[in-house]
Amino acid sequence: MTRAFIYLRLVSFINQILSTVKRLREPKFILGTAAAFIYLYYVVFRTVGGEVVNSKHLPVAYQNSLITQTYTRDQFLGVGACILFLLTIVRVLWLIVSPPKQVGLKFSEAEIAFLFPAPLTRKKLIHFNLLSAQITVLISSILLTLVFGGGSTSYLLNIYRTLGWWVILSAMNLFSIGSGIYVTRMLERVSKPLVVKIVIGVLLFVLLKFTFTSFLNAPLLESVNSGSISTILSQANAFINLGIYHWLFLPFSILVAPYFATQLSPFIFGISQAIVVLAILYYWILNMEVSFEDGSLARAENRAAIRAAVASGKAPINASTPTKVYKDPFRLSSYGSPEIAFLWKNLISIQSWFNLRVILLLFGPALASGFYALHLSGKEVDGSKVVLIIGSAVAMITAMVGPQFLRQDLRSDIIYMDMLKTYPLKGWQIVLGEMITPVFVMTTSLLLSLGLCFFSSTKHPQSFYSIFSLILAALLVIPPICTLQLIIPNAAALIFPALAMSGNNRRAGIEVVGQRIIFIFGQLLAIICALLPALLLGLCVYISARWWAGLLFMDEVAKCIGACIGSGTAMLLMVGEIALGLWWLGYRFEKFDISTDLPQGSN
Amino acid sequence: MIEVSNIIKRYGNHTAVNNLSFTVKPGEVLGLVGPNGAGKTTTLRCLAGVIPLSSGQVTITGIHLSQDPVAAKKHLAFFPDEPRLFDYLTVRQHMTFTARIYGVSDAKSKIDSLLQELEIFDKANRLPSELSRGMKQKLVIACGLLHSPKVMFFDEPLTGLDPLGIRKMKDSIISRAKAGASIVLSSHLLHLLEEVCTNVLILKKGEKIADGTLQEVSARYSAGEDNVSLEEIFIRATGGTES
Repeated sequence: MTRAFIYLRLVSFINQILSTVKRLREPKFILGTAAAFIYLYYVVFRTVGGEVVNSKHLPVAYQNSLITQTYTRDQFLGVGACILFLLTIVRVLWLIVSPPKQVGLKFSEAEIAFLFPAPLTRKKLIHFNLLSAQITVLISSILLTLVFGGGSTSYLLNIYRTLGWWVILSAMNLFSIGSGIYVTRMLERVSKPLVVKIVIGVLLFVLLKFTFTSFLNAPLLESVNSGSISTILSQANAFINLGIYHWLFLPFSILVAPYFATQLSPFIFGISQAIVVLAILYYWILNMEVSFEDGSLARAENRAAIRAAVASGKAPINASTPTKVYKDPFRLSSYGSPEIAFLWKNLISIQSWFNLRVILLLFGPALASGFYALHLSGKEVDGSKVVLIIGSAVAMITAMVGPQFLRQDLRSDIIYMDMLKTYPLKGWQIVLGEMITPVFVMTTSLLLSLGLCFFSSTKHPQSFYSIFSLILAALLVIPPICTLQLIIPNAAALIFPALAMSGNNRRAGIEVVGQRIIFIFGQLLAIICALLPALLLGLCVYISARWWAGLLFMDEVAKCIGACIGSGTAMLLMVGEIALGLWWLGYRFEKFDISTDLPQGSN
Repeated sequence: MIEVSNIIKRYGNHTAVNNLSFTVKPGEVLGLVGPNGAGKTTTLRCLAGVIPLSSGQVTITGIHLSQDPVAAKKHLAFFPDEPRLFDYLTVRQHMTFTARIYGVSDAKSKIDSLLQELEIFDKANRLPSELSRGMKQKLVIACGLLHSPKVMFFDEPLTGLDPLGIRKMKDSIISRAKAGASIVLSSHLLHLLEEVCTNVLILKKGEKIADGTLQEVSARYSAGEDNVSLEEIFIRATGGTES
């Protein structure tokens, strides 16, 4: 069994490498690979065995802080255990909010075809599955050591760190599989799963609340300046040895201990204990005696259908097949601009994204940290501050994550390319139509959230002119900014379609990593190039218009006129850039050849 | 009316379709046949404007596809072998969306009439995930027929259909042709050609081997023998190999 497993993995790995090398005949993949290697060299490999940061290049204040603030690795043990504890709670909460529909371990279609009918026990299949995951865990451990290695010159220390990462990731993987199976099975068995979910959720919340309060009140081991990193580290170390919390955090401390070890004997002692914890987790999963075959088969069939559909350049069956019918956002008549049909269609599909899970994932951390900062500052929480925090969080998330998250445009519809190309529309019309929905959602979200921020942070009543000029400027400038932000990912979808693919449709490989790096830098550069001229021109026009208006009107009115004309000018320039971008994207769309441009495309 | 003149489609050094010319008049049904990899799907995608031509010319009801693709596409419908549907749109929402894209007049009554004709009226508020393959195929056809196209391209139209679905699909193609549409279809199923097509075009490695009415092609490859089956004619024409 083990020999067969090693043979399968080794041969698959070699063939995967060979097929990646063959793909490098295409220029865009060579470029992607080169970018990935350059990035890896500068960010990762250059630091191994050398200095990460040349302190001479740092500001003087930071250099001083480096001299005075030195920490030993074991000081981080408590924080590490706390983070692992928090991740575990988050995982269980996530399972409660969104449990898997079926218990299913991840097997490929080929593995199912060959292994399921083979004379193997269920335990052996689970054993195979868990061992398979170890390869990914080991590669991830090496990469994490390279990325977060801290430029250690000691190869022995790097080995400790790699094995430390391996322990942490293996534990997370095993716990993730085990808890997934356990929670799904438990919810299947109970008559009122919603009540059970609420009870578990409340219990976890209470546990978190008590733990957090105890953490803040834990006695310090040494006197240090409040608020410094040392305080937090000492506090965490004291906390994980405090009364009952010692036992609660014991498995987490054991699991992070090998990573923070610096000497051989503590490392060996730490890893021995950690392996015992891993063995317990392994034994727990192996003895669950759960029927996972149906779930695994369903997952594998879904993946196979998607792969086959993408390989033939056709629309795949969605990984999460929708079953809920969403209402029409508005009445769509058969006359009028066809671009509106895309807005209508994409507004229907976007409704499936806005559920409690996504809102928690997107805004939960930002809101929680905002409230925590408010709590630490010792100020009283009033309504306007809460509104300000919510507004700021929504605005920040929308501006930063919005273009990546709102993918109801060409990125999600690129798989329907052959269908889109039969429509009697110009290329730019389809591109524009596809982009309208995310632009609309981003603009609305930004306008509302910034409006909340403005009205909750203003202590004195503002004049009519100030409010009018601000609202007008926001209405003029925000929509083109959002459009410009979205043009770039849509352009990437047409140039590098593999980047646009999501989830199971994605192509993987070093060259795709490189393409993503090119894309991230390209997006940043393009946004700067697009916004900078508009910003400068708008500013110049504002100053001159305000000066000219100041000759005729009072200062407040002059400011208002300046702001309106300035933002209007900036808007016009951005609209010009958008028109140019749409024209080029439309041209690219018309020239797009689904047989060659789509990943694994064929005729 | 479809007029195809010397079309060529290349992928790098590989020529998928080479110098293909033919005409399909209103009321005619042309069957594209050939071994796997002959270029049937590529040809249909080129004719429907899904992929760009390397060279050559296609006119749809007298409009040049490459010069005025928008006008040409208003008169055509392309039915791929796998039904492509948006995951989150119901049957009726698909029809409403298509009606707006093509600017269909009196859309509501046309939608209802087509849904009833294709027997999916009771599934109007269902999502694609709740439909069988045959139902999905029907929805694609309903969307394609909504703007009353004069030219239709079917890629393997019988794939995945049950016997009743096959019968209905054949009847539908014949009735549209009788109503004056020009139709091109590709298929591996030779009996479909005998029952539905007025003309046939045999492709091999992207090149035209033979074309004409079924009788003309049969006469050319029967070598004077009587009762030579269509299967035998196909094997003789293609040399019995794919490459």
